[in-house]
Amino acid sequence: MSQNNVIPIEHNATQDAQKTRHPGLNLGPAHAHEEDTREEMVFGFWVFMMSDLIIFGLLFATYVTMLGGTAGGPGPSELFEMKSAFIETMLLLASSFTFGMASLALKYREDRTRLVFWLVVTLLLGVAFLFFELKDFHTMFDNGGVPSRSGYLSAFFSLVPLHGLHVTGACIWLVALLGQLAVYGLDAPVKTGILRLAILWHFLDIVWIGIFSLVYLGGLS
Amino acid sequence: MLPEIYSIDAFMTEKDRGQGWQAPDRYEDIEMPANSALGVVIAITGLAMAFGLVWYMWWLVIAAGLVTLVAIIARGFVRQTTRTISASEVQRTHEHWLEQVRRTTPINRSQEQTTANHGLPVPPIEGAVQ
Repeated sequence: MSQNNVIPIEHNATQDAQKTRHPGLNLGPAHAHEEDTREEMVFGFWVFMMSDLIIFGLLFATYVTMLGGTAGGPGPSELFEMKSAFIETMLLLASSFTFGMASLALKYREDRTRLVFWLVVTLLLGVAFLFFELKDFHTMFDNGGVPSRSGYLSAFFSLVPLHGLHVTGACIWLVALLGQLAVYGLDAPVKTGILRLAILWHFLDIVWIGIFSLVYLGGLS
Repeated sequence: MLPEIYSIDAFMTEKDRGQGWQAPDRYEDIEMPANSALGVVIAITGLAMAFGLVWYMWWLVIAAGLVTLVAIIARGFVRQTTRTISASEVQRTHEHWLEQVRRTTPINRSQEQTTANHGLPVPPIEGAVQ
């Protein structure tokens, strides 16, 4: 090894100057510390979210290819109820709106009451959604729509309950965050936790729109 | 106090020039992740859950799932997630190391397999490479 293999590496000074904010809701100057220190966490959550999107994409594709594979068992028109699916859609859309209000309360309000109020409303809407979804599955089971009946139903029960499981997880996370809020107040981990949960919540809303359009509307048309 | 690297095999190049083992201009605190039991807990509950799923032991699956959930939620309540190694401790450790290097007699290649070898070579340029 000789001395002439010295390769200088240019130091890019402008890189440090233009630090990008994390994607998603920026909290504004009052929360600058949280934004600076927790940027990676929110970005990391986006990466996770996009990997989750790939799983849902695959399950959607599987579902579409399995549409004809009912093996003589019950199909969409025998199993689905438009009224119930519509109620679930409205509940989830409303919960996305209320989470948006919670995010605004986090950004602009000093007092915690408004934030907690919107978070609790969001939680109740999420639980109500889960209640209706479980009722749907129960009805389907009663009508012979069990996962082992056909390839079509296996695909359905891979896709839709996985979304329900995500909503369950998000609700548990929301309760845990409310607990942290009660113990520690609005400190940096709670703020960034709410930011990340908001990403998950809106993501699940979008996935549900896909499920409603493709599985329910598509199945009943 | 992040190392600044300006060449391939920077440490080798430094040693070539006889400039290895330098002291930095100043020492800074180093932030490290704090110890956490979460990894071990999930390793155990994950094994238990997989075992339960294989043998249809649903009580074990549920129990392992619940313990995992509680552990993750409890982790969310931990605020002390980093530990700091103070600049003075970094300085003490590093200067102790440099002092040890200074006291060691460097050897060349031919002495490598003798008891004179304490891990410090003479600069390669001056003849460690035979």
